[in-house]
Amino acid sequence: MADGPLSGAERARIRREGHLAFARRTNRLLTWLSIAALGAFSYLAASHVTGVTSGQAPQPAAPSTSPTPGQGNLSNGNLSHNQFFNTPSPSFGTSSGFPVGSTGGS
Amino acid sequence: MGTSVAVMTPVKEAFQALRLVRQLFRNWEGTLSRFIASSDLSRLNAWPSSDPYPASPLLMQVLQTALKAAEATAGTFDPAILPALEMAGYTVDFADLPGPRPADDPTGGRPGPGVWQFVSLTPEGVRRPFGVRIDLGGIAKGMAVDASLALLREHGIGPALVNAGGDLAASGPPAGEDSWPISVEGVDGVVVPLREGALATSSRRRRRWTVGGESRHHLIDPATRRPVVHSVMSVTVAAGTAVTAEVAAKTAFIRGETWGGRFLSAHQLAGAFTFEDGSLRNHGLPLIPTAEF
Repeated sequence: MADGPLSGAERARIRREGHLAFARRTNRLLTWLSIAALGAFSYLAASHVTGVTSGQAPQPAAPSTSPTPGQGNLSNGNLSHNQFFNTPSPSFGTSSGFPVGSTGGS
Repeated sequence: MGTSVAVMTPVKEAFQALRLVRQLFRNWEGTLSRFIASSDLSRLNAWPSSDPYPASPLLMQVLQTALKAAEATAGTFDPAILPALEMAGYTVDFADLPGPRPADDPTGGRPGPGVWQFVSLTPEGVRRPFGVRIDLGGIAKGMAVDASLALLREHGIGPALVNAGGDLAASGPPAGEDSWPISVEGVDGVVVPLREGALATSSRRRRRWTVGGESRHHLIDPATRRPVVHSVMSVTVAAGTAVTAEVAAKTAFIRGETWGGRFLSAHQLAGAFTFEDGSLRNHGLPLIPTAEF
């Protein structure tokens, strides 16, 4: 093609192609954004509806197994420590004898 | 339940007591053993969905108590620990456990700790996330001991003592005696003079095995999903009921002497820790030297 001023038709063609390229890029970007949003929504929905995804059970944060002082008063849900362990106290004698049983092994 | 059961009553009531307690333990084992494929617990563990499983009243009762125990111990007592227990190699009745086994999966058991919180009891049955499996071994044994004593009382039998593999309870001292002298595993030359109430011990002396050259036992820390590693060998706890003593002993064992001892103090429970080096740390358990004969 010879150098020189572009014709009106040529300028229109270039403008149209530019618009098309811009539209294609925008479309691609929107597609990726949609996929990401859908993925995030699916994850949130799955974790809220059943707490189970891909057949695997939920794994909530581990409860502390290192109690802190005062944990004896902890009320977890509607049952406090003391309610479960609040049974009549055992009673003991004072004299010894040959053992009739043994505690241990469980 | 993979354990022997002893019943002590006045002689004239012994046969009836034995028959009643044997039948009760058979019923409980048939319903609650994870080693019997047809048990209600095995069917729950194999239930192929998260829909409610129509459990028997006994399974519902024991599971409800286990969930309360988990809540009361902030998850140290965990009835959903079964996958980790199996990963540690405890897959069959203890008497049938083979010797050395290949090393296990280093990822540890699934599902993760605290999953018991997702188990719920509804009018339709037990609802739990698919894949969560339950073990009621220890707590069922303690509850069966308490239920046995209650059953004997109903039949006017007593005073009695029922001992299921070390989880024991008494409904009063033997006639004409001060108490039941009970020896404590790992502590020689002393007895606990139990009049009424219960004693239970959590120990790694007996239920232990080897996996890939590494020693394992059945007391799993829910935080690590592996057998507890510390110098405590056993914890014995006295309480009003066998189930309370069992849960407290297991909790104190898993938490170790410092925090386990504080746990016992917080609940005004007496207990004793024994250690690998043979030493004893007593937290208020009445120990009396064995009488000479």
